[in-house]
Amino acid sequence: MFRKYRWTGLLVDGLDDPSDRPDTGVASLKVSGRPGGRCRALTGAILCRLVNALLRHFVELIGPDLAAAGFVRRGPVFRYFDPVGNGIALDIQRTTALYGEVEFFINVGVLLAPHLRHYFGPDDPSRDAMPHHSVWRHRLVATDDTAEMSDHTFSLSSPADGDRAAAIVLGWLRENLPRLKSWLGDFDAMFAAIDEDRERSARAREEQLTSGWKPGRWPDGRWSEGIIRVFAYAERGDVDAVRAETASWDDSGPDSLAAGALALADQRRTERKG
Amino acid sequence: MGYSGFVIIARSGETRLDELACVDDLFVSVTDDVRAGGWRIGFLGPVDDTSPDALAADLALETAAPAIALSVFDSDCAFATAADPAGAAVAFYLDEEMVRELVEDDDEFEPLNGRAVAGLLAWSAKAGLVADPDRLAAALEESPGPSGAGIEGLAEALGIAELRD
Repeated sequence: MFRKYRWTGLLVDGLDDPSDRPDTGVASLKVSGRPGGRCRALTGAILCRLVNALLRHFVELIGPDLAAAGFVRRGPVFRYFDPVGNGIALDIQRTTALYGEVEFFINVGVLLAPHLRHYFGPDDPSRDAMPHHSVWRHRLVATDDTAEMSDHTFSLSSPADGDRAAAIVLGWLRENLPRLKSWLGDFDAMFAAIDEDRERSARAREEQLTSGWKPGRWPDGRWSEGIIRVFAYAERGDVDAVRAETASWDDSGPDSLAAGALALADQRRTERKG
Repeated sequence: MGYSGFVIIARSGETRLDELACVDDLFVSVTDDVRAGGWRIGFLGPVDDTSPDALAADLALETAAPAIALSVFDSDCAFATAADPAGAAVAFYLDEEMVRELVEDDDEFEPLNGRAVAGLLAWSAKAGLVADPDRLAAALEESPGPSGAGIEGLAEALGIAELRD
């Protein structure tokens, strides 16, 4: 069992033998340390820190534009929130990479304030919300239009790779961030976007059937339409509509999303009467 | 497959572990387990950008308090370092026998736990904690476990108690 993971798991500690690795241009670095495995662990740590510099370079390239757009970074996640708690999260999700490389996905999610309250309760979601808490989520494509096959994995083994990855991410943000921000707090805008994406998907499907795979013609992202609809009803105080919409949901227990939406609808209805 | 990744134990008070510069530098999401006395146990997930030695030293310097960093392998064992702000460090394993099995060539294996207990007791005293020597020796023989129970056991043996309401 352990042999199986030796080169993926113990690489974490740099306990593998640098002589077994591909030449990355940094493998000749040595540091002195305690004898045996611990010494080799130190060597691995130095090598890995150089790999981390690639990720830092990428983050430094995308960070200023995101900060200017109101995003705050915590660890690998950039988050933007409007005053009422709707937001956008962009997560740099690391994945296992070959030695000397950093590989990651870029996940983006649009966050709905009442939906986040279901996950976080009284805690502040601005510190922990992730794209998987979203009502629209998308994994950016890491390849440009010239690639034969699209791929979602950003792979960095040199600063130039970081430059290319940052250009793709910044280009996507320039094109899409205004659209994403326009959805925040606006259910009608989200439903209009859902309809547009549905039409675009239908067109893409037809094109694919007639002329083969057409990368980039499908709409970005996946909607959680049912959740958006339920919270749209809830914000209007429409208890009956929430109840009808959630009737077929599997989980209707006291801590469920359905129960949370129903409580919100009831609260809004009371506020409107008051 | 169990948990593989880093775990840190640090006294950061009200400061979340992911707000520490040396943790932020790793670009990881951290799950904090808040303990008594301002101590926190943080699960960082896979990290290939540092070592237990380096991270423990960075944590100790930044928090101005003794700190521990563990690199856990498949929930079965951990390579760990306890450091203090003065620069002293104690290297140890959780489940040394499992580590010995993992290191195929015994010439490369360096036993640590035989002398680690004394060092960890000194570490605990520097942290203002009251450790239990017998419990500590037993904790070093335990694996981290799939939910980190072995690490919680280590923390408690070092005198880091659960947070009570």
